[in-house]
Amino acid sequence: MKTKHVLDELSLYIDGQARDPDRIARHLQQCPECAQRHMDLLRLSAHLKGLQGPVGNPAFTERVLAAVRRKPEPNWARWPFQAAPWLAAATIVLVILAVAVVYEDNHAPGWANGLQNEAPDRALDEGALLATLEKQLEPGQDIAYVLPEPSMVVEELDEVPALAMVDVLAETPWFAQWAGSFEAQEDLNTVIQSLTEAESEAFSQVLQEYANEERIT
Amino acid sequence: MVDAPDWELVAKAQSGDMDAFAQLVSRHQKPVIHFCQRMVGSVHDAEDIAQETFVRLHRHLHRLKERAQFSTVVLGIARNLALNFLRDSKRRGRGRGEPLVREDNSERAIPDPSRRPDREARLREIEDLITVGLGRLSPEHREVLVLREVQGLDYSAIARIVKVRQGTVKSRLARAREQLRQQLVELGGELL
Repeated sequence: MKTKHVLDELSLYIDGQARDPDRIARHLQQCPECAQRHMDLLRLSAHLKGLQGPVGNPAFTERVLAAVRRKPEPNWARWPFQAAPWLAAATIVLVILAVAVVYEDNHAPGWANGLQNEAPDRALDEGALLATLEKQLEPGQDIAYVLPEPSMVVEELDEVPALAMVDVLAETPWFAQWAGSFEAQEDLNTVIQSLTEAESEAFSQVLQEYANEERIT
Repeated sequence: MVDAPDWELVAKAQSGDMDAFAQLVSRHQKPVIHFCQRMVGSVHDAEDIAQETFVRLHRHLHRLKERAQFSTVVLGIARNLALNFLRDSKRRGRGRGEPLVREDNSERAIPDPSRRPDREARLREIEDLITVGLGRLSPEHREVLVLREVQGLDYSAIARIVKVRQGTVKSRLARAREQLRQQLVELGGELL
């Protein structure tokens, strides 16, 4: 008796994750097409596993340690204000926004309406922000895809949106006025990283408003 | 599963022990560089990204908490930096569609004396094809395939690194395998 093809299940099958492996195994014995695809995927898997990687290199560790020593921790007290006044200005604006968001979270049901009412000149354009996110994300894609920063902060899930805002903010009309001042995206990242924990949390709350799956997908 | 020895080193590194940090770098450099190499296609760029990965790891050591496997944390950083690199490359004109070229890393690799020359040549040919095929995949498909097949991670670890649900990992992995299979059939089917 001919059974339904199992081509779509072969990826899970070769990983040992198929729900009904016995049924797939029986089908493979009687279907040359699926059996051929199964063999192709097994060979492909073997080739990928056999790809040559780098060998251990003690010099690499030394390079990393030297780079770590060259790159001091960002110091809120002495940096970045002395080096770049425009960074200070941008940071102040960000902090103002963060404070406004915290205020709205504590005193009003929706941050955006209140923020726009009280500070229309610096309010984020909700439509532009959402459109930016949608543009960067494909349907079903995770917000983390646009993260510009390392994922160790993903372990602290509440901090992720704050960092994701770097990319989002950089694309918004609201931030356009500052964009020319930044030599590289990394500078903007560093500004966000320089925020205090409370400020970072405030940004997280803002982005979570926009990053929930119902609104993105 | 908790990777206790790694996290013990992290705890020491958090208190300023640079030897412990150096051990972490030494222990994880190969998988990180290899992952980056398969993502961006260049050993040189991969080493730069890997170096920045560990620099950022050190910068954020104080934020790390013991959870799951430490390797997923490091690979997560590397993954983000690799995606940034690819995105920046695309902006600079080195687009996603550009085939990744295998670099001659013969000085880095240790020759296997048990391999016959003809077999060695065939393996290199296959590796070249796979490298080109991988380069034609989208980054989100390439990353799950590399994490699964090259790094040998399970779905749960991949989901943690890529920050999607396991169901998404499964579907991306299936699509990635099929796309790469088709690429290899087009490029040199008899080798598959």
